[in-house]
Amino acid sequence: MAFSSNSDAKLAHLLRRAGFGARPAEWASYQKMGLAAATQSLLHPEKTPDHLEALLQEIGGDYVDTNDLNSVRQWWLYRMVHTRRPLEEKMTLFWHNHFATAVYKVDNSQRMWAQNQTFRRYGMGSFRTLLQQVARDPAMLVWLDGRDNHVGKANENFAREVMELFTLGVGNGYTEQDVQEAARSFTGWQGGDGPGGFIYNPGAHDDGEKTVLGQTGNWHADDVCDILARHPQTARFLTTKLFRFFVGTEPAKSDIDKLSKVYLDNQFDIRAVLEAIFASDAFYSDAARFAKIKSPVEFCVMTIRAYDAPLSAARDLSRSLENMGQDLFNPPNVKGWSEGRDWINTRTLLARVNFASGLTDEMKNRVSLEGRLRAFAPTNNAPAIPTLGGGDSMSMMGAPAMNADAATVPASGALTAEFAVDALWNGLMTGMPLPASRRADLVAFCQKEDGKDDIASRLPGLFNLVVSAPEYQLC
Amino acid sequence: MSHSRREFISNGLGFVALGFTVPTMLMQASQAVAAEQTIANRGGKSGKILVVIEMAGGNDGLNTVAPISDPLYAKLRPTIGVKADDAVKIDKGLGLHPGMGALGKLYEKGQLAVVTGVGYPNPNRSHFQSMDIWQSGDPTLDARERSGWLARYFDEDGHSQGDPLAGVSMGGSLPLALWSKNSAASVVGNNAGEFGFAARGNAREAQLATLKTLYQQKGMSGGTVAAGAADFIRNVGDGIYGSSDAIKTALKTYDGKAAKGANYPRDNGLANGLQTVAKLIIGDLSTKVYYLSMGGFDTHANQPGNHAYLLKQLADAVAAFNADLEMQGRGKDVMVMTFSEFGRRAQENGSAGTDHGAASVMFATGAGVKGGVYGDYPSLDDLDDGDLKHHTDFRSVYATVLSNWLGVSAPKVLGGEFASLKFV
Repeated sequence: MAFSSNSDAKLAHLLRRAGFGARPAEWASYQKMGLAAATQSLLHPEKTPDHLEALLQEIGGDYVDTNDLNSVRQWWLYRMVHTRRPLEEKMTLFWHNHFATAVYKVDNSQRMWAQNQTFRRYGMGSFRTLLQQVARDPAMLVWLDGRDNHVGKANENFAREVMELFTLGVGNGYTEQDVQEAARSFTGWQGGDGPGGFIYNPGAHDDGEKTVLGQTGNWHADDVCDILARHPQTARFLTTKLFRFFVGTEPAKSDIDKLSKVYLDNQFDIRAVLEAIFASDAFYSDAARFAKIKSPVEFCVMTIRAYDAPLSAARDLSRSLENMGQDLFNPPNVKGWSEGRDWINTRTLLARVNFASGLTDEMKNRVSLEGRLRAFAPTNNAPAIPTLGGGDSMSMMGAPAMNADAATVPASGALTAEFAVDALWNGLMTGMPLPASRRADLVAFCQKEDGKDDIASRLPGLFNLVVSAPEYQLC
Repeated sequence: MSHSRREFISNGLGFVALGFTVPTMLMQASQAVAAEQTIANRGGKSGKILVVIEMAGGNDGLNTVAPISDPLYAKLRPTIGVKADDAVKIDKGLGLHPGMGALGKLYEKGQLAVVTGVGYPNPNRSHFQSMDIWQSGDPTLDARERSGWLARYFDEDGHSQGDPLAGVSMGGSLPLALWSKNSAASVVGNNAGEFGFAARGNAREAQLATLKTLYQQKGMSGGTVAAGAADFIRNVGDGIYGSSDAIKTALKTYDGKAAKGANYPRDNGLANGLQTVAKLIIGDLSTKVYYLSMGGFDTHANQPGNHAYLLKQLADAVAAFNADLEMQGRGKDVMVMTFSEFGRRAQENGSAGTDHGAASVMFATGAGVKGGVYGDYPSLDDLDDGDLKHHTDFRSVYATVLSNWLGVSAPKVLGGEFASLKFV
C-alpha cells in the first residue's frame, strides 16, 4: 500500500466506517479512484456486480443450508469478508442491530436468513419500504408476536417496540392509546401457507377506524408504517442513530436538523442520508477519527480482510464472536447490542486477543507474513510514515508531523525491526499515530536480548501484538 | 473470474462451525505489579457475599407467588393461572408456582424470604428504561448519567479502583448495576479457569511481556474521544492480569478442599454459573458481589409452559447452590437476591400470556436470611390501570441488603433514606 499524507488517512477512515476496511488490492484501486469517487462507489453498490451471488450460481447447488443456523452465519460472514459492496453489508449489519431479532425465540434459521436478505435488499432505499417489509417479515412476526395479534385478541408487543425502538424512540410523543390502536392496525398475520410459514388473513384483521398519532383512518400495517416513517420524530431518531454509527461522536442539534431535512425531502431515502453524513464536516473531523470501538464483527472481519485472508483462516469464528459478545442472529434482546465501550470488558477483550493469535497462527501456515508486511509498506518515494512523539493529540487535518527517523522500505532484502513495526502499525491502522514509547516497545520485541533483529521468527508475534493493542480496537 | 467448487469451499463457505474449543494456555504473570498486589485472596475475610440473579424480560410475579386463596386471581387468570392444588403453599394464603418445589423446601427451612408488592412510583413499562431504573436505583425517567447501585456500594466500601474482582459478572456483559466511573468490575464466563491471555508461536514469554507493557503504559494522549476510548480499553486489559491469577488461585484452592458439592441440575445454564460462583467463593476469591442473568421472562404469549420451565430452572439452581455452600461451611456467608425489571398485567391477554406490568416479587435466599413472606400481597381489586400496586419501594430492599448484609451506609449509596425490611 502506498501512502501519501492525509488523503490516505481519510480514505482509510471512510473504508473502515462505510465497510470493513480494504484488502491490499482493493486499497490500491480505491486510492486510484480518489475519495469522491470511492464514496460514490460505496453509496451505489448496485453499480458493482454482486460477484458472490454470481459465484454461487456458477457453482450451483445449495451453497448455504438455510435450515442450519451455523451455515447461515458462515454465509453472512463470508459475504462480509469477501464483499465488493461493503456499504451494503455494513448497512445489513446496522439493520440487524436496529430491528434486533434473535434466533433464540424465532427458532428457525430459514426465517433469520430471509430477514437478513430483506435488510440487504431494502437497507439503502426508502425507510418506509424497509419498515413495511419488516412489519410483515416472518422472523419479526415470531419475534414480536405479530402472528398472535388478531382482531379481538390484540398483542401489543410489535406496536410498542416499533415506536419505542424502531421509529420514534422511547417516550417521544406516542401514548399507550397509540400503541393499542397501532396494534389493531397490525393485525391479520397468522400461520399458513405463505412465504416463511405465514399468511395474511383479512378475517383476522381488525377492520375499522383507528387513530394513530393523531391520524384517523381504516389503517392497515402499511399505513401505520407510512405514518411512522414520515413522522418528524422518526427523522430525528433514525438520523441520530445513523450519525452515531457512522461518525462515532454525538451529533449537534444542527447536524440532526440537516439530516432530518434530507431524510424528509428525499422520501425517507437512507442512501441520501448516508451521502449527507459522508459529506459532513463531522465525518472527517479530528474528533471522529478512531472515535468508535470496533464491534466484534468489525474487529474480526476487518482483521481478516487486512491480513488478506480467506474466511476459513478464522477457525470457529462464530464461537469467537460469541465470546466477544456478538453472537450473530442472536442479539440479547430487541434493543440490540449496546455497542461502544460496552463491547469491552475483561472477558471480551481476552477473546479478541486470543482470536488474534489464532488467526496469525493459521495465516503463517498458509502465506508469507513477510509478504503481507511488504504489501503494507510505503514505496521509497512516498513521504515517510508519520510518527508522533508521546503527548501529541491526533491531528489529521494538518500535515502529519514528519519524523526523519521513520523507516522506509528496503525495496528488497532483509527486513528491519523498525520497518516492520512502522509498516504493520500503519498498514493495519492507517492514520493512527504511533507514539515513540510504543514504537520502542514493539521494536524491542522484534529484537533478541543482544539488540540484534530477530524479525523473521518474531513476525507472527508482532502481528499478534499490533492486533491486540488497545489502539487497534478502535476504528 | 472463475472458481472451482473446491476452491470456493476452501475459502470457507462449506465450513460449518461446530463447537470446538481452541485450547488456551494459561500464562502466569511473571512480575507482581501494584495492581496485582491489591487483589489479595482474603480467605474467608471476603465477609458477606451477595449473589444477584437478574430475571430479564419482566417476570410475572402474580404467577410466581400466586394469591391462590383470592377468588379474583382465578378470574383474572382463567387460562394461565396457577391452580391452588398445584401450588407450593407458603404463608398468607399464597402459593409458589408449582415449578418451584425446590424453593418451597428452602422456605420450610426458613431460608427463603419472599418480598411482595415491590416496585417504584410511576412505573415504567419499557424493558430498557425500567431495567436501567432497577440497576441504577434511580427511578428518574430521564437521568442523564446513571451508575450502578452495586458500583456505588463498591465506591462506599473502598473497593473502587483497587480490586477489579470486587464485582464479577458471570455472563457475557457487564451490567449497569456493577458499573460506575470509578469502579472496576470483571466479566468472567463459566469457564473461569480459562480466564487469561493466551499466546502462540515463537517468543511466547516476550509476547506476553510486551502485551502487558502495551496495556500498562499509556499510548495515545489528548482529549479526543479516541484517546479516551483507548485509555478505557487499556485499563480493562490491565485489570486482567491480576484477576486472572486470583481466579486461578481460587480454583486451585477449591480443588484442594474436600470438594463434596451438591447435585447441580444438568442442562441448566444458571446452575452452571452458580456452580462456578460456588467454586470461587469456596476458593476464597475476594469478590463481594456476583451477578448472573437469566432471560426469557417476557412471556407475552404461551406463558404456562415457558414460565414453568424458567421458574424450575431458577429454583433448582438456587437450591443446589444453597446446598453446596452449606456443605462446604459457607452457607451463612452468602445471600442470593432475585429481581426483574417489572411484573406483568393482572389480566391475562388473548395469547395465553401477559403484557408488561408493574409491581412484582423479589426473593432472598440463604442461611443468613430470615425466611417468610414480607408485606401483604397487593390487592387484586385495587389495580393501577390494570397493574398491581406496589407497597414496597425496591430501594427498601436494596437498603436492607446494603445496611444489614453488606454493612455500609444505605442512604449514601441510594441517595436517600429508605426503610429497611427485616428479612436479614
